[in-house]
Amino acid sequence: MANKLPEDLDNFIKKFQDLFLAKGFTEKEFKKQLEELGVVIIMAFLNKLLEQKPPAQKFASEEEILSYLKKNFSQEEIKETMQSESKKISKEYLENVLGKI
Amino acid sequence: MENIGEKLPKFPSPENIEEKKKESAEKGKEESVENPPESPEGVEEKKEEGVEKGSLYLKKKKEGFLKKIQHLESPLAERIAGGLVSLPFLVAGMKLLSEIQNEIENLSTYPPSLSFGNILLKEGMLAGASTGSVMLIVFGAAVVKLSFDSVRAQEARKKDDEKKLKLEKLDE
Repeated sequence: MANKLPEDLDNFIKKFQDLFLAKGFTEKEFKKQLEELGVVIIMAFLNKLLEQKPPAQKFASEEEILSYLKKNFSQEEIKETMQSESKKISKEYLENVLGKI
Repeated sequence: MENIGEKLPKFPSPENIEEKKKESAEKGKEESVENPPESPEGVEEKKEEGVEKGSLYLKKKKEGFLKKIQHLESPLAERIAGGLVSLPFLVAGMKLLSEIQNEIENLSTYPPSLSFGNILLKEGMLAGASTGSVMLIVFGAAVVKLSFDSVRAQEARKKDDEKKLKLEKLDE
Protein backbone atom coordinates (compact mmCIF):
# COMPACT_ATOMS: atom_id res chain seq x y z
CA MET A 1 0.00 0.00 0.00
CA ALA A 2 1.35 3.41 -0.94
CA ASN A 3 0.11 5.23 2.16
CA LYS A 4 2.56 7.70 3.68
CA LEU A 5 2.55 8.92 7.24
CA PRO A 6 1.64 12.61 7.27
CA GLU A 7 4.51 14.71 8.61
CA ASP A 8 2.27 16.50 11.05
CA LEU A 9 -1.40 16.56 11.86
CA ASP A 10 -1.72 20.34 11.70
CA ASN A 11 -0.85 20.34 8.00
CA PHE A 12 -3.20 17.43 7.47
CA ILE A 13 -6.06 19.39 9.05
CA LYS A 14 -5.21 22.51 7.01
CA LYS A 15 -5.96 20.51 3.88
CA PHE A 16 -9.47 19.90 5.16
CA GLN A 17 -9.86 23.58 6.03
CA ASP A 18 -10.06 24.59 2.34
CA LEU A 19 -12.96 22.16 1.82
CA PHE A 20 -14.81 23.55 4.83
CA LEU A 21 -14.22 27.20 3.86
CA ALA A 22 -15.77 26.42 0.48
CA LYS A 23 -18.88 25.29 2.39
CA GLY A 24 -19.19 28.70 4.06
CA PHE A 25 -17.26 28.01 7.28
CA THR A 26 -15.07 30.70 8.76
CA GLU A 27 -11.70 29.55 10.12
CA LYS A 28 -13.02 30.08 13.65
CA GLU A 29 -16.14 27.97 13.01
CA PHE A 30 -14.02 25.25 11.42
CA LYS A 31 -11.69 25.06 14.43
CA LYS A 32 -14.55 25.20 16.92
CA GLN A 33 -16.48 22.36 15.27
CA LEU A 34 -13.36 20.25 14.93
CA GLU A 35 -12.64 20.64 18.65
CA GLU A 36 -16.24 19.63 19.39
CA LEU A 37 -15.90 16.68 17.05
CA GLY A 38 -12.87 15.52 19.03
CA VAL A 39 -14.97 15.62 22.20
CA VAL A 40 -17.77 13.66 20.49
CA ILE A 41 -15.26 11.02 19.36
CA ILE A 42 -13.92 10.60 22.90
CA MET A 43 -17.48 10.29 24.23
CA ALA A 44 -18.40 7.75 21.54
CA PHE A 45 -15.27 5.77 22.39
CA LEU A 46 -16.08 5.74 26.12
CA ASN A 47 -19.70 4.89 25.49
CA LYS A 48 -18.73 1.91 23.32
CA LEU A 49 -16.35 0.57 25.98
CA LEU A 50 -18.91 0.97 28.77
CA GLU A 51 -21.60 -0.72 26.66
CA GLN A 52 -19.34 -3.74 26.27
CA LYS A 53 -18.66 -4.06 30.00
CA PRO A 54 -21.19 -2.01 31.96
CA PRO A 55 -20.05 -1.03 35.44
CA ALA A 56 -22.11 -2.15 38.43
CA GLN A 57 -22.17 1.23 40.14
CA LYS A 58 -21.97 4.97 39.55
CA PHE A 59 -18.58 6.66 39.24
CA ALA A 60 -17.79 9.36 41.78
CA SER A 61 -14.77 10.86 40.03
CA GLU A 62 -12.65 10.82 36.87
CA GLU A 63 -10.04 8.73 38.75
CA GLU A 64 -12.66 6.01 39.34
CA ILE A 65 -13.65 6.03 35.67
CA LEU A 66 -10.01 5.80 34.57
CA SER A 67 -9.25 3.02 37.01
CA TYR A 68 -12.31 1.01 35.87
CA LEU A 69 -11.37 1.34 32.22
CA LYS A 70 -7.74 0.36 32.81
CA LYS A 71 -8.75 -2.68 34.86
CA ASN A 72 -11.38 -3.95 32.44
CA PHE A 73 -9.93 -3.31 28.98
CA SER A 74 -6.68 -4.32 27.34
CA GLN A 75 -4.64 -1.81 25.35
CA GLU A 76 -5.61 -3.70 22.23
CA GLU A 77 -9.34 -3.36 22.99
CA ILE A 78 -8.89 0.34 23.72
CA LYS A 79 -6.98 0.98 20.50
CA GLU A 80 -9.42 -0.99 18.37
CA THR A 81 -12.45 0.73 19.88
CA MET A 82 -10.87 4.16 19.48
CA GLN A 83 -10.04 3.42 15.86
CA SER A 84 -13.48 2.13 14.90
CA GLU A 85 -15.44 4.84 16.72
CA SER A 86 -13.16 7.60 15.45
CA LYS A 87 -13.59 6.37 11.88
CA LYS A 88 -17.37 6.02 12.19
CA ILE A 89 -18.00 9.44 13.76
CA SER A 90 -15.56 11.24 11.42
CA LYS A 91 -17.25 9.71 8.37
CA GLU A 92 -20.74 10.64 9.58
CA TYR A 93 -19.65 14.19 10.40
CA LEU A 94 -17.83 14.74 7.11
CA GLU A 95 -20.83 13.40 5.20
CA ASN A 96 -23.10 15.82 7.06
CA VAL A 97 -20.90 18.81 6.29
CA LEU A 98 -19.35 18.00 2.92
CA GLY A 99 -21.97 15.67 1.48
CA LYS A 100 -21.74 11.98 0.60
CA ILE A 101 -18.14 10.72 0.55
CA MET B 1 -13.22 -4.18 2.31
CA GLU B 2 -15.04 -1.04 1.26
CA ASN B 3 -12.68 1.35 -0.45
CA ILE B 4 -14.08 4.73 0.43
CA GLY B 5 -10.71 6.30 -0.28
CA GLU B 6 -11.68 6.71 -3.90
CA LYS B 7 -14.72 8.73 -2.86
CA LEU B 8 -12.86 11.03 -0.46
CA PRO B 9 -11.79 14.45 -1.71
CA LYS B 10 -8.38 14.46 -3.31
CA PHE B 11 -6.01 16.94 -1.73
CA PRO B 12 -3.95 19.21 -3.97
CA SER B 13 -0.25 19.69 -3.25
CA PRO B 14 0.82 23.06 -1.73
CA GLU B 15 2.18 24.13 -5.15
CA ASN B 16 -1.15 23.36 -6.80
CA ILE B 17 -3.02 25.30 -4.14
CA GLU B 18 -0.89 28.40 -4.84
CA GLU B 19 -1.42 28.01 -8.61
CA LYS B 20 -5.17 27.56 -8.13
CA LYS B 21 -5.33 30.61 -5.87
CA LYS B 22 -3.59 32.73 -8.56
CA GLU B 23 -5.84 31.29 -11.28
CA SER B 24 -9.01 31.92 -9.32
CA ALA B 25 -7.90 35.45 -8.41
CA GLU B 26 -7.37 36.24 -12.09
CA LYS B 27 -10.57 34.43 -13.07
CA GLY B 28 -12.43 36.35 -10.38
CA LYS B 29 -11.34 39.65 -11.88
CA GLU B 30 -12.60 38.60 -15.33
CA GLU B 31 -15.83 37.13 -14.07
CA SER B 32 -16.71 40.00 -11.78
CA VAL B 33 -17.67 42.09 -14.81
CA GLU B 34 -19.70 39.42 -16.62
CA ASN B 35 -21.05 37.48 -13.65
CA PRO B 36 -21.86 39.25 -10.43
CA PRO B 37 -20.58 37.48 -7.29
CA GLU B 38 -22.84 35.04 -5.44
CA SER B 39 -25.70 36.83 -3.70
CA PRO B 40 -25.62 37.10 0.12
CA GLU B 41 -28.62 34.74 0.21
CA GLY B 42 -26.67 32.15 -1.76
CA VAL B 43 -23.74 32.38 0.62
CA GLU B 44 -26.08 32.06 3.60
CA GLU B 45 -27.71 28.96 2.09
CA LYS B 46 -24.32 27.33 1.57
CA LYS B 47 -23.29 28.25 5.10
CA GLU B 48 -26.50 26.80 6.50
CA GLU B 49 -25.81 23.54 4.70
CA GLY B 50 -22.32 23.09 6.09
CA VAL B 51 -22.05 24.93 9.40
CA GLU B 52 -25.59 24.30 10.63
CA LYS B 53 -25.61 20.65 9.60
CA GLY B 54 -22.27 20.09 11.30
CA SER B 55 -23.35 21.89 14.43
CA LEU B 56 -26.66 20.02 14.59
CA TYR B 57 -24.94 16.67 14.12
CA LEU B 58 -22.48 17.38 16.96
CA LYS B 59 -25.25 18.59 19.29
CA LYS B 60 -27.39 15.50 18.64
CA LYS B 61 -24.44 13.19 19.22
CA LYS B 62 -23.52 14.92 22.49
CA GLU B 63 -27.13 14.72 23.69
CA GLY B 64 -27.33 11.03 22.73
CA PHE B 65 -24.10 10.06 24.46
CA LEU B 66 -24.94 12.02 27.57
CA LYS B 67 -28.28 10.21 27.84
CA LYS B 68 -26.45 6.89 27.63
CA ILE B 69 -23.82 7.61 30.26
CA GLN B 70 -25.56 9.95 32.67
CA HIS B 71 -26.87 7.07 34.80
CA LEU B 72 -23.22 6.16 35.44
CA GLU B 73 -22.05 9.52 36.70
CA SER B 74 -22.26 10.90 40.19
CA PRO B 75 -25.02 13.49 40.74
CA LEU B 76 -22.30 16.06 41.38
CA ALA B 77 -20.51 15.46 38.09
CA GLU B 78 -19.49 18.68 36.38
CA ARG B 79 -20.87 19.31 32.91
CA ILE B 80 -19.49 21.49 30.13
CA ALA B 81 -20.58 22.53 26.61
CA GLY B 82 -23.99 23.69 27.69
CA GLY B 83 -24.44 20.70 30.01
CA LEU B 84 -24.03 18.17 27.19
CA VAL B 85 -20.59 16.84 28.07
CA SER B 86 -19.66 15.10 31.31
CA LEU B 87 -16.29 16.56 32.28
CA PRO B 88 -15.12 13.59 34.43
CA PHE B 89 -15.81 11.14 31.56
CA LEU B 90 -14.11 13.41 29.03
CA VAL B 91 -11.00 13.89 31.17
CA ALA B 92 -10.83 10.17 32.02
CA GLY B 93 -11.06 9.33 28.30
CA MET B 94 -8.33 11.82 27.45
CA LYS B 95 -6.05 10.49 30.18
CA LEU B 96 -6.63 6.90 29.04
CA LEU B 97 -5.72 7.77 25.46
CA SER B 98 -2.72 9.83 26.56
CA GLU B 99 -1.38 6.93 28.62
CA ILE B 100 -1.71 4.57 25.69
CA GLN B 101 0.03 7.08 23.47
CA ASN B 102 2.96 7.28 25.90
CA GLU B 103 3.25 3.52 26.17
CA ILE B 104 3.17 3.04 22.43
CA GLU B 105 5.75 5.76 21.93
CA ASN B 106 8.08 3.87 24.24
CA LEU B 107 8.13 0.89 21.92
CA SER B 108 11.23 0.81 19.79
CA THR B 109 9.25 0.24 16.59
CA TYR B 110 7.77 3.73 16.84
CA PRO B 111 10.01 6.80 16.68
CA PRO B 112 9.26 8.96 19.74
CA SER B 113 8.41 11.93 17.54
CA LEU B 114 5.35 10.17 16.12
CA SER B 115 2.18 11.86 17.21
CA PHE B 116 -0.98 10.19 18.41
CA GLY B 117 -2.57 10.42 14.98
CA ASN B 118 0.46 8.96 13.27
CA ILE B 119 0.41 6.02 15.66
CA LEU B 120 -3.22 5.30 14.88
CA LEU B 121 -2.47 5.69 11.21
CA LYS B 122 0.37 3.22 11.41
CA GLU B 123 -1.84 0.81 13.36
CA GLY B 124 -4.48 1.18 10.66
CA MET B 125 -1.98 0.55 7.92
CA LEU B 126 -0.64 -2.51 9.69
CA ALA B 127 -4.20 -3.80 10.04
CA GLY B 128 -4.56 -3.50 6.28
CA ALA B 129 -7.10 -0.68 6.27
CA SER B 130 -7.97 0.93 2.93
CA THR B 131 -6.67 4.40 2.05
CA GLY B 132 -10.04 5.99 2.82
CA SER B 133 -10.33 4.26 6.17
CA VAL B 134 -6.82 5.32 7.08
CA MET B 135 -7.61 8.92 6.15
CA LEU B 136 -10.70 8.87 8.33
CA ILE B 137 -8.71 7.42 11.22
CA VAL B 138 -6.08 10.13 10.90
CA PHE B 139 -8.73 12.82 10.57
CA GLY B 140 -10.40 11.52 13.75
CA ALA B 141 -7.10 11.37 15.57
CA ALA B 142 -6.21 14.87 14.44
CA VAL B 143 -9.45 16.34 15.76
CA VAL B 144 -9.05 14.44 19.04
CA LYS B 145 -5.55 15.92 19.33
CA LEU B 146 -7.05 19.36 18.67
CA SER B 147 -9.50 18.84 21.53
CA PHE B 148 -6.69 17.59 23.80
CA ASP B 149 -4.68 20.73 23.05
CA SER B 150 -7.70 22.96 23.63
CA VAL B 151 -8.65 21.35 26.97
CA ARG B 152 -4.98 21.39 28.10
CA ALA B 153 -4.70 25.09 27.20
CA GLN B 154 -7.88 25.79 29.20
CA GLU B 155 -6.46 23.86 32.18
CA ALA B 156 -3.16 25.78 31.95
CA ARG B 157 -5.03 29.12 31.85
CA LYS B 158 -7.12 28.07 34.86
CA LYS B 159 -3.97 27.16 36.82
CA ASP B 160 -2.34 30.48 35.88
CA ASP B 161 -5.39 32.39 37.06
CA GLU B 162 -5.41 30.47 40.35
CA LYS B 163 -1.70 31.20 40.82
CA LYS B 164 -2.22 34.90 40.15
CA LEU B 165 -5.12 35.01 42.58
CA LYS B 166 -2.98 33.37 45.31
CA LEU B 167 -0.13 35.83 44.72
CA GLU B 168 -2.53 38.76 44.86
CA LYS B 169 -3.92 37.51 48.18
CA LEU B 170 -0.37 37.12 49.55
CA ASP B 171 0.48 40.67 48.48
CA GLU B 172 -2.52 41.98 50.33
